[in-house]
Amino acid sequence: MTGPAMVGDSFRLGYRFQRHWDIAMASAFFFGELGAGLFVVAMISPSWPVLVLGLLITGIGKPWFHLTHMGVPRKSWRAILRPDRSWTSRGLLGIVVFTGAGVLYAGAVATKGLVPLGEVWRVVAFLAALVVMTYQGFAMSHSTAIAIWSTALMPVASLLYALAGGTALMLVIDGLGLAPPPFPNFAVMGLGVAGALLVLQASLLHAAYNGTPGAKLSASLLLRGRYAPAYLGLVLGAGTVLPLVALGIDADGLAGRLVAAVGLLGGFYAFRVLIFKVGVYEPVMRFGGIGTPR
Amino acid sequence: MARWGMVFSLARCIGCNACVVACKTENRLPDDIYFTRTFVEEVGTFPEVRRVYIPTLCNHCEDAPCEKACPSGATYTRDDGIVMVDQDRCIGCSACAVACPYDARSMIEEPNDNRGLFGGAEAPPAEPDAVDRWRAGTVVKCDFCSRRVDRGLSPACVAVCPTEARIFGDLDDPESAPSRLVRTRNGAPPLPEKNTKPKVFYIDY
Amino acid sequence: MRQGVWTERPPEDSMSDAAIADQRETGNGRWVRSHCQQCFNACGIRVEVVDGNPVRIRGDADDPNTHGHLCARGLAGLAKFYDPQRVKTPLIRTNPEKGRRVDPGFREATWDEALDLVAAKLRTIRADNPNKLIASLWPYEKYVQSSAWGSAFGTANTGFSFSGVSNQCANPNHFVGMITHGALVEFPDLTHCRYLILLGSEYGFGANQSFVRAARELADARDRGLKLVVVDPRLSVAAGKADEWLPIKPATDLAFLLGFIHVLVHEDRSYDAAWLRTGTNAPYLLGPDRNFVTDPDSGKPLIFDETAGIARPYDDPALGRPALEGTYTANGVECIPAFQHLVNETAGNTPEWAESICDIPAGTIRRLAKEFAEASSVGATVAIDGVDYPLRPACLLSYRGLQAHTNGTLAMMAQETVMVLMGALGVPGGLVAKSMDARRFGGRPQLMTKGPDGIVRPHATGWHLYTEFSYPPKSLELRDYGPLALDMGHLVPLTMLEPEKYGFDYSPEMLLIYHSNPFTNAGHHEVVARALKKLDLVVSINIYLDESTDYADVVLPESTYLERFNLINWTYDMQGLQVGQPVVEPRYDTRDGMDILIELADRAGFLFGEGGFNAALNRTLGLSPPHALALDRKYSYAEVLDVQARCHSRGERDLAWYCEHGNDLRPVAPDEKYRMYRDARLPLYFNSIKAAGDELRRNLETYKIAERHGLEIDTSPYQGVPFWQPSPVHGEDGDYDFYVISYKSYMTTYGDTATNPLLMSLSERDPYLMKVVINAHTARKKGLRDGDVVWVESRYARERGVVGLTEGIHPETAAISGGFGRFTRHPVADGKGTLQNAHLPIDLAHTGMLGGTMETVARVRLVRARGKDARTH
Repeated sequence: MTGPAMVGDSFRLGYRFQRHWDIAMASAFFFGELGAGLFVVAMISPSWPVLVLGLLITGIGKPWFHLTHMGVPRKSWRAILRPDRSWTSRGLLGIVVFTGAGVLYAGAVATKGLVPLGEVWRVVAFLAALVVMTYQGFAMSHSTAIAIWSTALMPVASLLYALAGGTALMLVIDGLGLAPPPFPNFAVMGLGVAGALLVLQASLLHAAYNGTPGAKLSASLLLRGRYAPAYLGLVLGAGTVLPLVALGIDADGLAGRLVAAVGLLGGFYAFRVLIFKVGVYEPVMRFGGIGTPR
Repeated sequence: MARWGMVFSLARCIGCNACVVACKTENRLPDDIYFTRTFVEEVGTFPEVRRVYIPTLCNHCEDAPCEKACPSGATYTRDDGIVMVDQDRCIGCSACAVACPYDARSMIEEPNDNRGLFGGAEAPPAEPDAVDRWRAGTVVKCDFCSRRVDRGLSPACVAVCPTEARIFGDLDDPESAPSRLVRTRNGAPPLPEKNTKPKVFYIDY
Repeated sequence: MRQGVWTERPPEDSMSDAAIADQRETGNGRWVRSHCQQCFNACGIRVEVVDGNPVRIRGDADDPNTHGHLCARGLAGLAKFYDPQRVKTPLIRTNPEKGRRVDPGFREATWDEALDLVAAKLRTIRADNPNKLIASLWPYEKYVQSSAWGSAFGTANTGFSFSGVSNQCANPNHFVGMITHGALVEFPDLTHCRYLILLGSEYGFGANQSFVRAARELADARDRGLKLVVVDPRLSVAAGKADEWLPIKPATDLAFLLGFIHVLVHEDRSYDAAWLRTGTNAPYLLGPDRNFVTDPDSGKPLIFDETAGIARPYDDPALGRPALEGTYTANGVECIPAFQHLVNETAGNTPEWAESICDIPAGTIRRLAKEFAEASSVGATVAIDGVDYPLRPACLLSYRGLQAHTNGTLAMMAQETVMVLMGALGVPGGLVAKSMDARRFGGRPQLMTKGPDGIVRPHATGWHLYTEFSYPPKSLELRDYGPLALDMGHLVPLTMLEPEKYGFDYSPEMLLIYHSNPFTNAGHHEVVARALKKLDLVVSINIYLDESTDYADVVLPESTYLERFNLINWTYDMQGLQVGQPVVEPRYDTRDGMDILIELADRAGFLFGEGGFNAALNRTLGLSPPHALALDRKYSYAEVLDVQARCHSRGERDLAWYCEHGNDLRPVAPDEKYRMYRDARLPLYFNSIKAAGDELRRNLETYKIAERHGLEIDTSPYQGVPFWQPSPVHGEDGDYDFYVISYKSYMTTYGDTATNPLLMSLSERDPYLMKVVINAHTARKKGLRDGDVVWVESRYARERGVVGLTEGIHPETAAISGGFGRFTRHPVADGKGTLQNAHLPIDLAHTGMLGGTMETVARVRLVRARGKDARTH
């Protein structure tokens, strides 16, 4: 018995790749989380140009790629209609609130209080940023269809990668002296997120290998075959080990920070793409042995 | 109000694909889109080996994950339990498609949306109900042939099935054929662990 | 016994019943009733027409045979109508060079020009020697009618000549079925059957007859608890669904059945002895020459009367208990009952012997034979409409997989031997006959008659059951040397290349191909191509340009089945007719193929008069005054069918009635379905085969065929009981280590459906259909993997294929689906899948002249392709 396997377009019973969310959607996820992450990191010691940069990345990058992905772009506004049940709607509302409150907050910072209610916008923008940083993970984990997505680690991954992305950009901005660091020895945060991502990836693989056969298959697709080089090289190597090494050697130099930032962002983007690529639908039925079906 | 459901007998299905062609022609589906598919699986090792054919379509789940994932309100459930897609509202985000554990949804992509049988632009004329049915960019699926059901007919795949392996009827009526089959022959839904409460059941496996 | 919805009527509200009234159907168009003609089963369809265009095909719920169910092909039929590749006007070749994929340079022509060109040649040939025309006519829904055209023309080379159906069909089934119990085709009586063994048959699962109806009946029967056993080298659809699958070595079913018979007559002795004594020729005495010992006065065969201790004529009213076994003396010679002969002849065919040949364990053969005998419930009866019939709810049914081998006729004889032994032919639960009687054209079912020897005589309208010897031979199929061959059309390309070698005094000059394609249904392509090139004029009546039209001089475009008429009954147990009618006017300048034949007969001068086509149609369709074709009038084919409708309804219904109502099918009475042979005895001993063989041997010697032509015609198979004879492929080179078989899927009808994009997209998604399927364990040993591109190599051809792995196939077997591997200009069909029959040699060694078979198994090896050959597209 050859057993259920990846079956492509054929009508064999087996595992099928999800093909609906691809590069455009991964890019939208990436930019949405990256911008919000940068915004939140920048909030620690507010610098309005960095806040605005975060808002621009989320506010332009994410909709741009979403519209690329969308089948009927001109009706995309409809995506906000069902926040009562859809994480997509909730997230989109989050983006609207985030960009709105974020602009006001950044304005308040830039004008040193000329924009009123600065504290309110700060809290609202922060909460909305948290939604933007996590809802995509919730949208994935909420569905049981793609087994490797169906884990509480997905929103955690979203949050962590958002922070890692924000940290990576901030490391460079700080390294170039374009803005002051959120706190002294900011490179520690780089080491922290890289370490956390390593733990996260290990947890993801562990959960998948102990999950349903679909999750196991997806995890094995990350470690063997055509996606393995990208996963091992980019997500794990460049995305976690490289920043740890680079910052460990040269935490405050521009070179170390650049290498770490490129590694973190590369790993982040590769993860976003690969987690879509290895998502599989499970066979609608499993047969243990012979005899029963007549 | 009825609550429509379907039962597949795995013993009776011989994988002949009549249902698949009936569905494709009834709905005039583009080349690479199938609302119903019959999967095949070998079970066992030589020489103790058998083959099972597993018909699939949208399970019209009570707890439809596609409906929950749909951000635009395009996916909705009719009073009779048929899960529908309103193409005027669908934005083509595919959130439903990745939420459906059964891979039952497909996007109508250009230029396939209105291409003829032979790949050319000359779409053969079709039954007026089906003409221009599909809007490019929307994500669609089986609707139990709701237009037929509304006229008192069974879905096309059911009507043509040579072995009568597909039984359609009202699950709220305990005496309907599908209700009785589910009861007396241990009807089981596909992937029950996904907690979607399908209205499609498999028997005789 | 399991109970369920299928054993009861579905409740009214369930809508699971397909009986849907027209007016409730969706749509805005007009629904036209017709029947499908994409295979020969003629399932009722309804076609929706909107603005003059057919837009949807559905099953006709008012067809009592199919209940509105339809198969994938039937539902996808519109593709045929709308195919842009259709031939739209008559075509005449301009490029004199003929060859595979060589552009014929067709120019468009008028019907008059094309028909006159063809008719002129027909006239010349007919005046010279009509046999110089090969009329290869195989429009399945009306092949008997079209064959009548060839007969009216006067050629011995008509019907399946040149193309042959010996590759696609189960000729022995028709031949042996007819001589055993008048069955052109046999159907298991599934309303009563409880045990079914299918050998090389997918009855109820796709191939074989009446798929749509049989699928439902068999599913119901299995639901009621019928045990299904399938013997097949490949895990066919049937085998995959069976209770038991027995993977047999290809072309050895005969050995399996001989082992089966051995258990029945030597070990279990569980046959129906009472029936054998009175209902068969089993007690007929055989002399030392193994012919019947006859009464000197009446000439009637003798039976030994155990009661009286003397031999008496079989129909002597004083006859006591007939002896089945023993040795006796009658007419002064030592003789044995035919049954004793069977016992003697099968003594060595133990299950252990069978296992050594067919790879099915002896224990399994023994167990199955015993189970089968027990399930046959010998002695049981059932009352139907107040009449008691024997109840034999166990069937052994074989088809092409068992029969399309050189030993196929012997294997089919073995099948019928088992069925006769159990008394299970023509009775409830057993195999019932669809006879070749007038019922097919609307007349009443005709009972079988019996000969002076008391044995059944079949009806065989339009079929050669016996061909008289003649020398020089007339039939390019060599029927003259194979008197019991139903069809050896595949030999024609061989014999016409060297006619003198086979004793012919003529060489054919013209080929008319109607709905046939020798490249996809015959064998070795080089032989076919050379033969096609040798002819002066090749005319094709065709819907598409195909492999064969690359060699055609004239192509006459035929209408599709949605644009033409037909009137037929293909059911096995119903009476009446069902109509095929144009649902719209022809889309292009095409004609009904039968109208083309009528027109050609007219222009070539053989339409009228006693010997004309009209007269031949009268005979074939059973038309008699006042409803017969006038011999001096030209009819359109629709008008012919109108006369047929009036004749068989005794003037009550005309063609227009059928066009409106679709069909008037209704079940035949039980006494017209069961025991149609009445008191005629069925042959346990195939005396007619033995006699024909003796006659042939004498003729071959008299005319010194071997000396003159070096032709060794094998007369050894002409025996009264089946015996083991290997297929030549069993002895062929071990270097070619796979037996390659072909099979049919429910999505294909020969190569015809490969042009249908709907069916092709499904076929390409099937895990097996496009592949060369081999056993996964064998593949591992040979280092082949799923998806590997290989060369399928034989001594005759080299074809590319893609390996598919399965657990479900005999380890030495490779399976290739028929219907694919086309090399044609049609973009949908071209180059998809692999063609198996290119590996089949066309020669006498691979032809079973008894019954007319072609060896459809070949020896091949699989060699991994390298470089650019290994690329899949």
